[in-house]
Amino acid sequence: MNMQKLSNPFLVSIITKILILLVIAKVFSLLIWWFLPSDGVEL
Amino acid sequence: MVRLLYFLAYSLFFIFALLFFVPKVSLYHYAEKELQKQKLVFSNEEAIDRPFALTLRDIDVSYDSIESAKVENAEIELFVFFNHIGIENIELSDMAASFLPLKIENLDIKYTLLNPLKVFATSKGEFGEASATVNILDKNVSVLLVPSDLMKKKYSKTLRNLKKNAEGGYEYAKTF
Repeated sequence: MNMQKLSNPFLVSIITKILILLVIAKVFSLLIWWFLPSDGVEL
Repeated sequence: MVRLLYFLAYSLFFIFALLFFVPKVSLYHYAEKELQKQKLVFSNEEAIDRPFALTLRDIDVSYDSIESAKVENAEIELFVFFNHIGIENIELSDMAASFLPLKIENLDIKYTLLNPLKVFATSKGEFGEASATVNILDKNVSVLLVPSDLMKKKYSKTLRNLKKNAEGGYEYAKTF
């Protein structure tokens, strides 16, 4: 029964999309981290 | 209709994921460098990256190389649709002592996309209570100050520069 639920194409599609969005967000944040300064301003 | 709902749900999820992952301290350092061009420098602070906020502790604020204020704690929450900056325990430099009481308990700045042309701020301190509205389109600031007894007694000169309204508050407006 549980295996049937896991292989539900609708659920798999949603989980895949969520994972793809998470990866895109992480890559985007890494790019921001790469290009922005790592230290601030001091007097 | 269902597709649109899915699209909105995925978009919201993506925005929150991005807000979660984005390096807030790096963004803050970038903002610091931009503010430095306007002669405003934040130094000696501790920046803490939190899942949906940035916390700053013990900030020394200088303007034009003159130490202007010390801030104990600031919390920056940017959710795109609703943005909030909460600042607690501000102590102004002694230079301001002739114009204002030096201790400010809190300053809250709010910006929401429901009202995209206005920024709202409220503050409470030894000076009393103040609320301000910045109109981005008209480029003006209006401040309503309800002064404390200390402000009325010791800083009446400052209050004379403001316009008194019928309710006993003081108004200030400036275009930038």
